[in-house]
Order: sequence, then C-alpha cells, then structure tokens
Amino acid sequence: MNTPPTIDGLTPSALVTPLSAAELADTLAQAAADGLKVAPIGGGTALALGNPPERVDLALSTLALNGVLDYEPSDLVLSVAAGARFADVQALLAGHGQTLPLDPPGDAAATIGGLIATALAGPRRLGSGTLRDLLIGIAVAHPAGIVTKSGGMVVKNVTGFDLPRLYHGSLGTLGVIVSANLKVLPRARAEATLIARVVALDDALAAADRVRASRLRPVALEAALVDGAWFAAVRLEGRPATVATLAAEAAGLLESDTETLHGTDSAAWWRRYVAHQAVHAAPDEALLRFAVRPRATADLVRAVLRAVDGSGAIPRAVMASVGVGTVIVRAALDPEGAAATLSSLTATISPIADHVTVIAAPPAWKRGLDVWGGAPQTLDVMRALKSHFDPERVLNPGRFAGRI
Amino acid sequence: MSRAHDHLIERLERILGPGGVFHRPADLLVYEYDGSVEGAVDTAAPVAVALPTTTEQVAAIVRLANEFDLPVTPRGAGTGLSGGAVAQRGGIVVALTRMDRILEIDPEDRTALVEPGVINLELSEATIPGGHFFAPDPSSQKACTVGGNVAENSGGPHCLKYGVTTNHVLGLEVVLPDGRVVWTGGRAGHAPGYDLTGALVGSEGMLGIVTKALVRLTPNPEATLVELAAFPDVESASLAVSRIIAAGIVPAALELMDNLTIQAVEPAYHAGYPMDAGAVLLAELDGIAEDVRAEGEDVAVLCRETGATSVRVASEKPERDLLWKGRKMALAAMGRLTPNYYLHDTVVPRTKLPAALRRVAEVATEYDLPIANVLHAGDGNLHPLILFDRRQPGAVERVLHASHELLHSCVELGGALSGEHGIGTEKRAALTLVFSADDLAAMAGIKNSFDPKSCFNPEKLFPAGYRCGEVRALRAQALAQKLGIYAM
Amino acid sequence: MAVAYETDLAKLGTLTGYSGPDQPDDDLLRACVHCGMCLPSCPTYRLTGQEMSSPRGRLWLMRGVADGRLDLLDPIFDEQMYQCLNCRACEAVCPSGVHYGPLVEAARSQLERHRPRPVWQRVLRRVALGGVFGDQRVFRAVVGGLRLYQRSGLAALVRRTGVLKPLKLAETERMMPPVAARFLRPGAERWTPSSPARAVRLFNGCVMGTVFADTNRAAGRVLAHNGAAVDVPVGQQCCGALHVHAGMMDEARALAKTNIAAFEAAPDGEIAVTAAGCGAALKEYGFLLKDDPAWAERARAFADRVRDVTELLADRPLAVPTQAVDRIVTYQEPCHLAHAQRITAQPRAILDAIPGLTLVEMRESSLCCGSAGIYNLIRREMAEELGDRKARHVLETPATAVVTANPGCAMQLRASLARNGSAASVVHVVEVLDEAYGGSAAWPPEGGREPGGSRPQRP
Repeated sequence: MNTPPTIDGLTPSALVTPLSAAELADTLAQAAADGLKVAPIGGGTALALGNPPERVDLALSTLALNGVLDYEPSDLVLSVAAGARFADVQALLAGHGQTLPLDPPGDAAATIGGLIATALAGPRRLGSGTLRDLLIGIAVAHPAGIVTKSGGMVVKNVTGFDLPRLYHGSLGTLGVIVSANLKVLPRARAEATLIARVVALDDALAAADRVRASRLRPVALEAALVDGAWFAAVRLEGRPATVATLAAEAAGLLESDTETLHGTDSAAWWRRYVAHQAVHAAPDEALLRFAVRPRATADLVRAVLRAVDGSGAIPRAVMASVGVGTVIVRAALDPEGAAATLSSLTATISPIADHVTVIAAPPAWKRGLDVWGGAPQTLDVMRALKSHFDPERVLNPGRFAGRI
Repeated sequence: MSRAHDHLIERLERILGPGGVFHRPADLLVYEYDGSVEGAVDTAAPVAVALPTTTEQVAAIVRLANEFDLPVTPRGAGTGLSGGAVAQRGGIVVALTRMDRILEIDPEDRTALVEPGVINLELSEATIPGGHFFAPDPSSQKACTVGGNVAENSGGPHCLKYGVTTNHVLGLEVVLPDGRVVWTGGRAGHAPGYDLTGALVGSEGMLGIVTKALVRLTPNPEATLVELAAFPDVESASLAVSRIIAAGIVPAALELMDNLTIQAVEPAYHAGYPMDAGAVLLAELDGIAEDVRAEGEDVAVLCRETGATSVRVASEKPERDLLWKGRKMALAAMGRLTPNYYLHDTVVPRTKLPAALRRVAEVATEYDLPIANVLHAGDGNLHPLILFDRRQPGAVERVLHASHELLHSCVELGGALSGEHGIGTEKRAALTLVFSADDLAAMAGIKNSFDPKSCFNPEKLFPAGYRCGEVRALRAQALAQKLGIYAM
Repeated sequence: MAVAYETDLAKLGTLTGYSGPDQPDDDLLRACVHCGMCLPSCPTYRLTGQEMSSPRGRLWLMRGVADGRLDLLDPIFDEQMYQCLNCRACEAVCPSGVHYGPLVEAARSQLERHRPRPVWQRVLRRVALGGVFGDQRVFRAVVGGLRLYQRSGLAALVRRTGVLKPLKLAETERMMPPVAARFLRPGAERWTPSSPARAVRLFNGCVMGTVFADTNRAAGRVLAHNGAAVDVPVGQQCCGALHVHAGMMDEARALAKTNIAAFEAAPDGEIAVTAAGCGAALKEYGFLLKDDPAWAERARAFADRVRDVTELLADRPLAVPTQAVDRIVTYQEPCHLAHAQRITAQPRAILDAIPGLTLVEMRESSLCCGSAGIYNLIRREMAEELGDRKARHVLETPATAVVTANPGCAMQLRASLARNGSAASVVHVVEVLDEAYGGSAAWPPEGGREPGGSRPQRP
C-alpha cells in the first residue's frame, strides 16, 4: 500500500511505513522539524473517528511493526508490536487455548495499536471489560524522537505512573503506540448465544433486564434492532455443561421465540452483529454512540428512537448494551440538510445522554459540529499533556476531544 | 514560630475551624510516619496537618498552600508501605480521614460513590448485603482507605481474577494542584478526552487529591470454594500454580506460603496447615456454582499430580475463613516471631517464580537473614518477609542491602519494582533499574501537566534529580540528540 | 470528679524522658512498626480521625518521650494518655503483638508521679480511687446511700426538677441502674449442688457485689447448676483495675496483694469473675507484681486461677437449659473481655444454647461503648458520642435486650439507650442463662430444693 488513505476528505501527500520503532520515532522527529502534520494509521478501520484533522501531510503506518515480541502462555501475558492485526493475535492465542476477551468492531484488519488508540469496544465489555483492563505495558514513539515505555510484562505493577491507561483512547495525539503488553485469558471452553425475537423495543429491554437480574453472568447482553427486527441477545461462556444449563435458564427468562447458537455459530453471529458498529458511514448515514449510566439505558434508547424518528432519519441499526449504558445507532439521513439534522439530533439527546459521539459520518456533515460532543471539563490539563508530548501539534491536530 | 507560620495557621483555622488544624510540635510528631519500615523510609514532619470534611475545604487548603508556596501531601489512613504519605519536604499534610462517608450505593448501576476516607473493608461490608462487593482487597483492607487505594492502585489476593484498583474506578472528583475541583470519568463510559482517571489512579498523591471516588461494585459470587494443598517444597507448589493457569482456570486467589511461614502461622492460629509441608497453596475459586464445583475438582487433581501430599476443600464460610486465617494472619504471626520485619513487594512473570524464590533463598543465606515467603503466586507478586532485630548492630543496613539485591534480581527476571506497594521514597532510587531517562521524562510530563509548580507530594517516585526543570532539559537534550542538532 | 482530668493546656514545667519506677518498657514500645492496622479498632480514632488519638499515635508519642523528642509534661502527651479508653481493642488486632495496655498504664503512672497537678485534683483522685474504691466498707456505704436516694422518692424529685443539670451530673445519675435490694457480702452466701464436681470461688467486685449483687447471685446459681460448689471468699477487695488504668500503681499493688492473700486462703478451684474489667486486671496481677520478689510467684499463681464466668461455663459441656427465653438480643462485647481477655466465642456459645433466644449481631459489636471504667465520668463528651454510636447500632437491630458482661458497660449502655429513645434492656450473660435454668425460683433463697436436687445454703 503506497497510496495514502483519505481522512475525512483530506489526503496526505505521502504514506510512510517505518520498519522499526526507532525509525518511526525518527520519522516523527523529522516531521516535527519540518513542520509536517502526521496521521498515524494502523489497519485503517477507524479513520472516520474524530473531528476532521486541521491538516494532514503524512500518513504514518504502523503495519511494518508486526509480530509477537514475547509470548509466554503460562504467564498469560503477551507483547506485540502495534501493527499486529487483532485477528492474527487472536489466532495465535487460540492455538494455546487463550484469548483477548474482546470483540471490537473492525473486522480482521484492525491492529492492536489502533484498537488501543481508539478505545473501541464491542458488546463484550459488559462481561470482560475493554483493552484498558488488559493493557499492562506500552511503548510509544513521540515527536521528540524518543520511544518511551511504561508498565511491564507483569500483570500487577505499580512501578511509576500508569501511562498505558493515558494512551488508551488518546487517538494517537500523544504519540504513536509501537508495542503493547497485554494480559491474556484462558479461552472459555464453550459458548452459547440466545437470540430472542420480539415485537418491539420494550420487549427486548424487559427480556434483557430479566437476564441481568438473574444469576447468569452474560459476557454480552444486547437489546437491538438490526435488519428491521427487534431482539434481545445473550452471550454465555463457561464449561460446556454449565453453558448448557445456563442457556436453558436464559431461554426461560427470555420468554419468547428464542434461537440458541453454540460454539462457532455463536461466535460468528456476534461478528456479524458487531459489523454493524464498524467505524464507517455510507454517504447517506451517520453512526452515533450515546452513553449513560447503566440504569438509564432503557430511557436513553427510547429517547434516541424518538429523536431519530422526529428528525426524519431512518434507523438502520439500534444496538443497546444493557448493563453498560451504551447505545449505538446507525441512521440514514436525508442528504438534504443532513448536517443540520445531525446537529439537532445530537443536541436533542445531549440533555439525556452523558456523552454523545458521532463515530462516523460523511465529512461534510462533520464540519459543523464537534463529534466528541464538546470539550471536557479538564481540557486545560489535557492541553498541557498534549503540549508536553507533542508541543508542535504534529500528531492528528484537531481530531481529538477539545480539538486537541 | 514565625509570623508567617502563625498567619498560615490562622488562615487554615479559618477554613477548617480550630479542631481541623494541628500545628503544635507534639501533634505533628505523629504525622511524620506511615506504615513504611524505619530505615527504608525517612520520617518527616509537616508544618501543619489539615483534616478537612468537605471538598471545598480541601480546595481552599490547596489554594492556601499555593499562596504560601508550600508543598501538599495527601494522606489516608497512613498504612502505605513506600512512604507515600510522609511529607518529605514539610508543608501541609491533608489527612482525609474525616471524609469517610459512603455517599451512595447503587446496586443497579453497580457503583458506589464514596469519600476518600472510607475504609476499604467497610465499603464491602456495606455493599455485600445488597449483593455486591468492592473487589480490591489489599492486605491492609481493614484499615486502609479507598482514597489511599486509588493513590497507590492497590491490589490484593483477589486481583488475580478481579484486577487491581484501576479496573474498579470509574470516576474521580479531584482537587487539582491549583485548587480547582474537577470530575474525571463518571457513571457513563466513553467520556471524551484523555483518560485522566486512569492517570490519577496509582499517581501516589502527586497529581491531585481525590475527594470523591465513583467505584465499580462486583456482584457477589454465587459460590465460593477454598482449597488448601500441602506440598513437599516450594518448587512443586509453583509448578501447581503454572499447571492450574495452563489448564485455563483463573482462581479468584492463588496464594503460596513457604515452610518458614507455616512454622510461624500454624502454632499461633491452628488453621490446619501441615507443619511438615515445604509449602502450602491456597486457592479460592468463585463464580457460578456448577463451574466452581468442576474447577475445584480440577484444581485438586492438578495439585495431586504435581506432588501435593494433601488437599483440603472448604465450601462453607466458617471453614473457608479458617483456611484463609493462616494466610491473613501470616504477617501477625511473623511479627510475633521477630522484633522487626521488612515486608517486601516485587513482581516477576509467573513462570519466573521458582527462579525468584531460589534467589530469595540465596539472598537469605548471603546476608544471614531469615526470609519467609508469602506470595500472590497467581500473578507473580512476591512478598519476601525479611526478619531481623534492629537492636543488632548493622542489622538495618544488612536488610536494606538484601532488599536491594532482591529488587535487582526480580528486575533481571523481567519483573517490576513493586506489584502493589508503590514507589514513594522507598524505591525511587531504584526506578532507573527499569526505566530510562526518556521513560521518566514521559512520566514527568504527566506530573508537569497536572502540577506545574511541583507542589504535590514532592520527593516521591522520581529519582532524586528528576524534578520538573531537569526533565524539561532532558527532553530538549534527547530531542537535540535525535535530530542531530548538536553532538553531545 | 467530672473535671478532674480536663487538660490544662498551660505547660506546667518540663521533664525529659521517663524516670523512676513503672516506665513504659522500651522493647515493647519499639515492637510497634506503625503499620496502622490498629486504627479502625480504636474508638477515639474512629470518632476523631486524628492520628494522635490512635494507638499507633499514642505509642509514637510515648516513644517521643523516651527518645527525648517530646517532653513528658507536654499537655498533648497528658491529653492523649488519658483520652485513651484503654479498651485494648488495638491489642487484639495488632500484627506485631504489641502489649498496648501495660504501656499506656505505665505512661499514666509516669504522669501520676511527675506531673504537678492542682491540689484539688489530687485530693479528688485520692478520695475517689483511693478512699472509695480502695476500701470496700466505704464503697458499700456510698452505694448504700445511692440506694437510699433511689428508693426514697428523692431520685424522682431530682429528675423532675433537673437540679443536677447545671452540675453536669444528670447523665451520671441516669446511668445508675436500680441498686440491688441486698448486697452480696463475701462469706455470706454460697451455692452448692447436691454432688459438686468442683469448687469455684466467686470474685465479688465493688460494683458487681453491690449494685449488681443479683447478677453475681445468678452467676452463683448457673455455676452450681453446672456442678460447681460456689462461694465468695472473705477478705477480698477491689481488683484495682481503675487504679492501674489511672496509673496509680502503688494503690493497685496493695489491693492486689490483699486479694491474692484472700484467695490463697481458699486454695482450690478457679476464681470466677462476672466483671470483664475486674477479670482482665486480675489476670494481669502477675505482670503488675513481676518486680516484687516476694509476690511475683504468688501473683502468677493467682492469675492462673482467674476465669471469666463465661469462660468457665463454656469450658465444659453446658448443662442444657430447658426454659425458653423468647427474646431477640444483641451482644455488646466488653472491651476487657473481647480484647484484653480475647473471649468472644464463649458468651455467644452460651446464648446460642438457650432455647427460644435469638442472637442478632449489631454493627461494631466489639467497639467500645464509651464506658471504659470511669472514663464516661471524666471524658463525658467522647463517652457520650461513643454511647450514641452504640445505641444507633443497637437500634438498627430488632433486639429488645442488649447482653453484655461488665458493669461499666451495662451502666453506659443503659444511659445511652435511654438517651437515644431505645427501650431495650441491658442484661448480663449469666442472667439470661439463669432465666433459662429457671432463675431464682429454682434456687429459693431460703431452703427448698431446686429441680436439679441441689440446695442453696446460707450459713
């Protein structure tokens, strides 16, 4: 790949693919010296995330930083280069009966570095948390031309400040992640998914609530509208006998026409489901994410539906993570006045939702708004962090929250 | 005392009332220590101790400290083991022990909103009847505060399965070093911007004072099982740990105790640990009842296969508590054996445990110091307990040398300096064993972004000479070198 | 008396280090590694959240004096040594096994010796502790006066008119339970089953033998019901606990010697104690007299015989109680039982054995109620705060009675519960057990046979 990808309609003049962390750091330093603006790129599956960059001169790929740096299955830890593909890592781990218990959007192409930088997480975050919880060490290249590391290869470590969590979700604005150390977990021996087809949203929410209040500890629990149909979905993991017992219990709780999938069928169903959350938008649609405290999920999703309907948009997918408090909506908007519609839609829901994020939308629609929904209260501290790590604003200028 | 001092006290009393400020020498005397070992951490008295009861008071104290250009050292229960709560450069100690209310328990959101002075165990005691617990359980949990846990990113036996403090903190109300009150994180996920909550947890009171913490609660497990396996030696017990992990089982806790520990614990507490065992392994399994039962059987089989001479299984609470008693009272038992002990805290990759333990034994011989081992084996966290008598000439020095040796060895094995006790002043000099000047510069960047005047908890974590000014120079130098602007 | 210990913050002179007899033992002092595990167990720390009011802080202050970094006569030292309730909850949780009680007592003794106090304070203390508690005849006369006051109608009048309020004595008055109709005099009563399996000597105690004489009688009955021949040896005096706590070591030692001699005259059998505070003090006679060659061995032998009454009962299989006591109770651990003597399971085991009785645990059942000997008389504010906290915890339970095993706690609990609007009664463990055995009805005071076939004897 030699052609630089387009980011929100802007095309960098070059794509460079450094072969080592040191080379990557040198590239950053050179860019800083030359006054160039850099967009780090991993698998390129989430380029739509963020405000349109102020400027992009150089696309910097991490794909050459590939491979496993250290993996000791008995230690349940793994060190990988940032450009390693998530799917490849999972395949390697699966060979040892282990896994990263995550289901982020981004198909097979997403890289570990990209997933850390974007902090994207799928429905599994209910039961297994996110990459934030698995990250035990990190190495990052900065525009000062240096590579710094923090954390380590042990699962429990309070040696120094906890930088791994600071970089998680920082969208490449503090540095370019070059490698990460991750806690891995044993793979569940069995899994099952129950999908309860229901008539309306309220039925899906009620079914999900019954599961949440039960002894079941689902790793994912969704109430969703996909392909025009409402359903509640429950993902269970554990020992085969236990999963069979729990699946029967779940079927009883769901109280409706329930389909049960096992093993690879179950996993495949979730891959298809998460694909609806992929970070891109067709020319006529926007992908939005709303977040509230878990107990307010039902109110949120109802409010979102009303607002979407009221704006004349057509919901293509509505995916609520019950127990997490996240609702993801993919909606088609009339291209005529779409930017204004999008603005009013987010404004309508802002009072109800704690956070509203436009994950993906056509660049023209994004120009009029802050996709992060406004500046955080601690923006000055964040600016100070930015100016320490990237004083010349080389990395992704303007794309992150507060247009950092 | 000087006029400026009197003025300071008067202003503090105006904020806190006369009962909230201590400044007489005898009062300050008792704020010069924390739980750290004398000799490893120097004591130091502040010029004043403030005991606020509200966030506004904390903010006012911090603004006042700014005005008087005084350092601020936050303090919880003062049970820390790395000197974190000791005011190394004097100034004002802000003790948060009077901010000890549980403000809200929300079983539906599975969160609790607490003030920093709430005692760790008492939070769980308050939430367990409603079906949840607060997972971080450091060994000092009966006394330490949630605010202190946040500052030190505390662990505990059960973090093998449940993770450490940072995995359970959703949001923080913080008084920043300039006196502003802000919230980071919150009840809803996906807050925009950098994860400042993540940066604050484990920052050892150097970035701000937590005045409220929103923490995650974990549902009580449906079933819990504890197994105690006796092994002929530490190696076979370590092997069992590896085999259990390799079998895809993640126990809630996996604790190992060596013979010296058993010798101290069993006669005192009668927990039923076989006195002739070279090591015992304590495994706790919890979760869905069916899984716990099956995993319990697997663990027992694996232990026997790796040489366990006996395996006791306890499913009812009184029996479980009895098996745990030996582990929980290990330190107490040691305290009764010897006038002094130095509890160490290092961590190595799990598979390096046998090597690390061999090294501990060598160091014990080399320095002629008995060292007992109690470890969170499941996550490679060692707690060598060096026994000594400080009245013997040179004993303290020998202990300090031995601990430095242990640190070195663990770093060589790919480990870290501290698994859960923190760096503080205790290990700041050793930080360069694991981090380069560049790495430290990145950490200093965080420090400077929150606390540009460097007035919060000075003389902690960073090795001497790595304070802000120097770090900026260092970064410039690194940059210059990389860019080849001038040769050094 | 109420103001006897209030600290006068004006410095009364300087004195470096400890001197003379009864100094805090330096090795014991340095056994504290200031880990802080004691903090939550300490009542004064729980209330104040301040380090100097914690066991660890107080030990550090004592070390400060030993090292010459803090003046013995610094008012803060005095304040903290006496603010301590000496409940010894910290000892029970200390990982290093620090013997806190003897240390704070030694520190107080140093203050007693070296601190110039106003004459009126000294006189008051001498009269209260030396005169009244030091001599059973005086003590009985005082309590007798109280009994007269309670029964004469004067008490009702006083409460109605509130004349004690300005004297700050209203609370003290309220604390007093009705005094027993008849005091228990040593040598005067005994309880003997038909075929006694062993002898037990009852330690009478000042308050137990007078105000709570009926509780001691209940103890006599339940012990007899369990096969012991029980008597109350003559010649016994106050245990001296209050004197030790106040640092008045010479007075305490004199009382100890009297008691040792009295019980040596009744050489066989264990010594049963119904007051946790007395029991703890009696068990420490060996330590108190360790430096007195003529008495050290005798004191140790005496201490080895001392048992709390619940300890003695739980020692062997309990005679099965037959009468249901349909009541919900909660148990308040006396500090000097739970912490100083580490007796926590036995009282509960006894309660568990009683048919019909339901034991509901309250929060912080092992936290001091604020009584702490005579602490509630001299540190009223802190004592009341602790009492209120305790009453709140009782009110959270459905209990209609609080069971305890110490007279000071009983009085403090009575007052605190009443002040907080609780109607719960306060009873001793042996009183509940006695009821389950049929009570005094089964042991008529004069003649008659009780169901077990034994006969109470009155000489």
